[in-house]
Amino acid sequence: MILLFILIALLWLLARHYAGFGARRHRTTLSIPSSNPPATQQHTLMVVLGSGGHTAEMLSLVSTIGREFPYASRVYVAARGDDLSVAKAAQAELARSDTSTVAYRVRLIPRARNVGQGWWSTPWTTLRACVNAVGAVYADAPHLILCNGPGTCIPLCLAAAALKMLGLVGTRLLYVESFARVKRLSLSARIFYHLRLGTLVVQWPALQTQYPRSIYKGILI
Amino acid sequence: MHVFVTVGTTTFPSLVDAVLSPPTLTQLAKLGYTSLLIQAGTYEPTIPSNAPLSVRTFAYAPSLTDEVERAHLVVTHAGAGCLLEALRAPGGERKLVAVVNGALMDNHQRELALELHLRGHLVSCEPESLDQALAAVHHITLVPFPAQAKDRFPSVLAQVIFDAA
Repeated sequence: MILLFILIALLWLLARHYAGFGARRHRTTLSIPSSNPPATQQHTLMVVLGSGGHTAEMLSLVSTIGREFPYASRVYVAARGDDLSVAKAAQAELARSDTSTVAYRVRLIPRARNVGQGWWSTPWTTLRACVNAVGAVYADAPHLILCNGPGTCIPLCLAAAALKMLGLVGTRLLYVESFARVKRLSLSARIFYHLRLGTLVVQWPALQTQYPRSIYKGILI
Repeated sequence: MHVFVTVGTTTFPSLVDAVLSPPTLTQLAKLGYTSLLIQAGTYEPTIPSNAPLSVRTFAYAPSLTDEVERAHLVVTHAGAGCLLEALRAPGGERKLVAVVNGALMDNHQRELALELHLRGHLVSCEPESLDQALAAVHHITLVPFPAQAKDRFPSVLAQVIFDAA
């Protein structure tokens, strides 16, 4: 799977190169926030939204991220057609106090598979979703991708891992498992954990016991 | 006193039917409830004509916050969104019953409802045992559910982006 992504990433980059795009700046280092005034905060935080429950939990988490973190912009990623999540993100941004200094954008990406879609066309739409995920991560070069399990999040995480392996981005991945998961991880969280894509945070202690590399600090939402 | 029942965005006819069964309606009236509002989704139940309290239903609403806040007793399906909304609604003590939909595949909702039950925040049941759950929730004092600890996620985030390589 990862090999497939690397292949897609390479194809994508070649296409970009021949289309005349220049090389990207590579962001990996980060200074301590106290010595870092807001004016020099230039990193991008990518927030992956999903269906109803996922989006509500994610926006609740994002609402607690203050100016002590070096993010000059937030990019919300939603599946194309998920107008409700986009509206909720805009609503949450309006309620924030730092919108004058932190810009936000919305990026729409296609779904890997639409509800009711025939199986014959699924490989094609999945491939399209993966190529778009690679493009999104490459274009925004986020410092951190924050996700909690909607269908769009695993392609984005794999794309980030592949691009990171190629040294093209310095993206870190943080997956916060839903409050709804008490004793068993969701499928995407298990994929994320076992492929060691980044840091997994759980909200119930029984999961931390089962998945010792995960972080538990109580209910976060 | 007022009861609010919600199935969220799911379909859960057995919950609605259990609420509207004659023994449950009688019990609610006996507990002092005078009105019952049911958010039933696409399901259209028949309301008994001789119900001992006033019963109204509706399909969906953009927000259920007002209805939850108005109620003295909330009976909800065990979806995390509805549970959190009911657990954190302001306005004093509110009785809360979470009804688990046994027909769901990969039923993590049961685990969540059970965990919250064990911690004393609500009483969890299946549609078939709603009567006992209603009796039980009126015999105990529920433990208030804490508000969001707004410093926790930032501390996790700091650990991830400032410490880890």
